[in-house]
Amino acid sequence: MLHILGRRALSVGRLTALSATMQLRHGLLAMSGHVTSLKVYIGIFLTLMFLTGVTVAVAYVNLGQLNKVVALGIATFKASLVVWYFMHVKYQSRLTKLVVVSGFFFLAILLGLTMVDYGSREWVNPPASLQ
Amino acid sequence: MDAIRTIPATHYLNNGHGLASWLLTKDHKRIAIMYLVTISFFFFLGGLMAAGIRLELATPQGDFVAADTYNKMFTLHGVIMVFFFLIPSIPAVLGNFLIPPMIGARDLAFPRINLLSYYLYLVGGMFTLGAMLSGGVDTGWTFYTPYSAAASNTSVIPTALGVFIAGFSSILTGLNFIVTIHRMRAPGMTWFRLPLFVWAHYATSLIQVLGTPVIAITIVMLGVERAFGFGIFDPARGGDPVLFQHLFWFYSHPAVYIMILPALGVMSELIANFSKKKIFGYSFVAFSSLAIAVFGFIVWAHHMFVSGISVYAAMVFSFLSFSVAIPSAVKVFNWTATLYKGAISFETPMLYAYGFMGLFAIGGLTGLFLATLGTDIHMHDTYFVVAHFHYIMVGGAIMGYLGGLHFWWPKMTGRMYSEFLSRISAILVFVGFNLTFFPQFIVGYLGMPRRYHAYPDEFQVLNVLSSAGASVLGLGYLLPVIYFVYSLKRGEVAGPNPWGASGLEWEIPSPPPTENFAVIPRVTTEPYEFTPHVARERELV
Amino acid sequence: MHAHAAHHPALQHQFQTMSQQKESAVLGMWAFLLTEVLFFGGLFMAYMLYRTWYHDAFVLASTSITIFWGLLNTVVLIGSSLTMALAVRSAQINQRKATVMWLIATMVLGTVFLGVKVIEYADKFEHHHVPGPEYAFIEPGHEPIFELGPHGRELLERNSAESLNRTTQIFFSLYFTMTGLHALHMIIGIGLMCVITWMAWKGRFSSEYYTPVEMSGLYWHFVDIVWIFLFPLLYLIDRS
Repeated sequence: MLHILGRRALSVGRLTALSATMQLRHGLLAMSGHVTSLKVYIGIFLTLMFLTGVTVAVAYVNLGQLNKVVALGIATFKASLVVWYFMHVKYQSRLTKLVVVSGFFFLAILLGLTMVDYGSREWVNPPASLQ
Repeated sequence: MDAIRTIPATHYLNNGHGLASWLLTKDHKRIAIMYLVTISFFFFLGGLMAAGIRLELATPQGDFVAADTYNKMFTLHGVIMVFFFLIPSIPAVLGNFLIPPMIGARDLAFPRINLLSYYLYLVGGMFTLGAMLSGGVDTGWTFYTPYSAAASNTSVIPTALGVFIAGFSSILTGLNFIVTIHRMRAPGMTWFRLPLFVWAHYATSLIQVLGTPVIAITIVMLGVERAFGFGIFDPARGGDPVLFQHLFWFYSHPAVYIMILPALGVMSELIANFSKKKIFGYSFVAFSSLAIAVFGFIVWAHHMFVSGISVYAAMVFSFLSFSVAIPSAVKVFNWTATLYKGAISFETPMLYAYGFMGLFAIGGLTGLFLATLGTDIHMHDTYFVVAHFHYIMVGGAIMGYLGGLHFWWPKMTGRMYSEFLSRISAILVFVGFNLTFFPQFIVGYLGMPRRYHAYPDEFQVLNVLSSAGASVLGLGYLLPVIYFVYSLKRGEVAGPNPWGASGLEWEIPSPPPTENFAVIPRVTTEPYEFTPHVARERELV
Repeated sequence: MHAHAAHHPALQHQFQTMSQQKESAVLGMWAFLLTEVLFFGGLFMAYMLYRTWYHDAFVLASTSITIFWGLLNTVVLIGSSLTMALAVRSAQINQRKATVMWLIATMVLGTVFLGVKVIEYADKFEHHHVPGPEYAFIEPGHEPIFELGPHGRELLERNSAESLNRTTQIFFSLYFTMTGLHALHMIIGIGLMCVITWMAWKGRFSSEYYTPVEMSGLYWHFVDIVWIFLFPLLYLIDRS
C-alpha cells in the first residue's frame, strides 16, 4: 500500500501540463522553410547543364585511368549541387546533413570492403611485408 | 490497493469494436497486437518445421522424410524464423507498443506507415506461405547462387519475393522509429533520459534502414537472373557467385543485430527494474548499442572464409569481427555491475533475463571461435555454427522477446498471468534450450555437417539428446500460450505498475488509453530512478 | 485534446505543432532516401566489380549505346528537377496556379524521359542486346552492328567473340536492371505527382503546409541524382 502511494506521488510530479518549454522548442523552428530565389535555381540549373556538357566532352579526350575519375568527380559534384540547393539541405538541420553523409558513408563501406576482397584476390604470393 | 488496481473504463482495446476497427487501426498499440498474433502464427509454423527436423535427426538414417523434403524443411524453418519471426518480433510487437509511451508521445510519427508496414509483412508472409504450399523451396534461407538462380527447381521466386516485401515492412518500421525517437520525445525527455530499450531500438532501426535495401536489391538481381536469364551471379555467364554472398551478408550479418539488439534493450529494462537499481554506466550501455550497429556492418565476410575470398580480406574481416565482442561485453559487464547489491527479485521476466545472460554469453563467446580464421575452417558449415547462432537467436533474441512479453503483458492487457506456470515455462525453456543446442556444439566440433538428413551412427547419442531437448523446449514455448490466453479473462487485474518499475509507460493506466497520455508529460527525472522507499518496500513483502 | 485553441486542419493528432509535423516528414523522407542510396548501391557494387573484371566488354558494350539519347534524357531530367524545385517554391510562396503548372511541367518532362527510354529499349530488343536466350552481341565473322570506338578494333581482336558475348551480357544485365529500376522509380514519382497536383489544384497547400509537395520534390531530385551517375557510367565509358 505504502509503495503505491509513493509511486503515485512520483507520477503526479512527472505528468504536469504541456509546458511552455515544449511550445518554445517547437516554436523556434521556422514554419515555412527557406525560400530560395529564382536566380539561384536557374544558376544551379545552368551549372548542371554546363557540367553535363563537360562530362560528355571529356569522355572523348583520352586521359587514361583519369577518365573515370573525372566522370565520377563531375557526377558527384552535380549530385552535391542537387542535394545542396534543389533538395534544400543547405537550409536543413545538422541532423539532415548527417543523414545524407551517413548514406554515402555506408555505401563506401559496402563498396570499399567488398573491393578489399576482389582487390587482393590476385595476391598469390604475399607481399614481402607480409611474408 | 484494490481501488488503484482497476482496469480503466475506456482503453485502447475497447475503444472501437469489430474487425474493421482493428484492420484499419492507426493506433500503434493495436498494430502491435496484430503483429503479436501474426508473428506467433509464424513462430509456431517455423517451430513445426524445427520439430520435423529434430524428428528426422533422432536416427542416423533418413527414415522420416526424404532428403528433398528435409531440404525444404530446414529452408522454410530458416526463412520463416529469420524473416517472419525474429526480425520483426521485438521491434514490431514490443517496440511498436512501447516506444511512444516510453518517450511520452501519443503515437509513432507515421501511424499510417506503421499500418502499411504491417500489411507489407502480412503480404510477404503470404507469398512465403504460398511458396510453401506450392512445393516449397530448398535453397536454404541464404538463397546462395548459382543453385538458387540456375539449378533449384523449387519456388525460389515467390519465397524471395516474400522476403523482399517483408524487407520493406522492416525498413518502414525502422524509419518510423528513427523519426519518432528524434522528433516525438516529450519535453524534458532528453537523449540521456531515454530508457535503454529505446536506444537499442534506435540502433536497430539504423540497421533496418541501411542494411535491408541491400538484400532487397540482391533479391532483385537474383530474380532477374532466374526469371529472365540475365547474367549477374552465374559463373556460367561470367558472373561471380561470391558477389551474391558479399551482398547477402552485408545485410544478413547486421540482420543478426536487428534480432539481438532489441533483446539487449529488453534486458537492460528487466535488469534495472528487477534489481531496483539505476543501470550501471548508462551511457556506455546506450552507446554500445550504436557501436554494435555500426561495427555490425564491417564484419560480414566472416561468413565467407571458405567461399574463396582472398585470404587477406579474410584476415581483415576476422580482425574486424572481434571488434563486435567489445560493445557486447560492455553490456553484459554493466548488467552484472547493476545486479551487484541490487534488491533483486525473481519474477518470471527476471528468470528470462538470467537465462538470456548465460546463453548470450555462450553464444557470443563461441562466435569468437568462428571469427578466428583457423578454427572457422574446421567448424564452418558444421553443427557448431548451428549451435552458435541458435544460442544468439533463440537463446538471445527469443529469451529477450519472451522476457519482454512477460514484463509488459500486464501493461498490454491490464492483467497478470499465472506466476507459477510462467516460472515453470521459463525454466523449461532454459533447460530445453541447453539440452537441444549444447550437444550440437560437440557434434559439430566432431565434424557433423549441417543441412544433411542422415549422419554416421556415432553421432546418434548427441542427436537424440538434442531432439529430446527440442521437445522440452517446445513444451516451454506452448505453455505461455495457455496462461497468456487464460489471463485475458481470468487474470488478476494488474494496475498501472505491478512491478514497481520505472519509466513513463508505467505511469499510464493498463491497458493504456488510445491517446496514451491525456496530457503530454514533462520529464524531470533521470531514467531508472527507484526511490529507496520503493526498493525497501520490496524486501518487506 | 490539444492545448492549442485552433490548429491547422492538416495537423495530425500525434503531433503538437505544425513544425514538429514537418520536421518529422523531412527526416522520414531523408531516412527513406538513405535506404534508396543503399538499394541502388548494391547495383553499383556489381557494376564496379564487373567493370574492373571485364573492362574490354564494358567498353565495347558502352560504345554500342547511342550517347545522344542519354544526353537528351540527362537534359530532360535535370530540367524536370528545376521545374520540381520551382513547384516547391511556388507552394512556399502561396502561388497555387504556378505550383500546379510546374508540377505538370515536371510530369511532362518525366514522361518524355520515359518515352526516350522506350525508344532505346526497343532498339536493344531489335539488335538482340537484351540478355537472355536471344542475346547476341558479336557474331563471329561479322562486323559489329554499331560504330566502334577508337580502341574498338583492338578490343575485338584481343577477345574471342564467345567471351565477349558472355561478358557484354553482364553489362547489359546491369544496364537493364539499373535503368529499369530507375524508370520504375520515375513511374512511381509521376504517379505520386498526379495526386499532389490534384491536391494543389484543390488548394490544399499554402505557405503553412506544403509538406507533400516538398516530399515528392525530394524523391524526384533523388531519382535525378541516380541518373546523374548512371549516365556517365553506362554511356560514357572510354569513348576516347
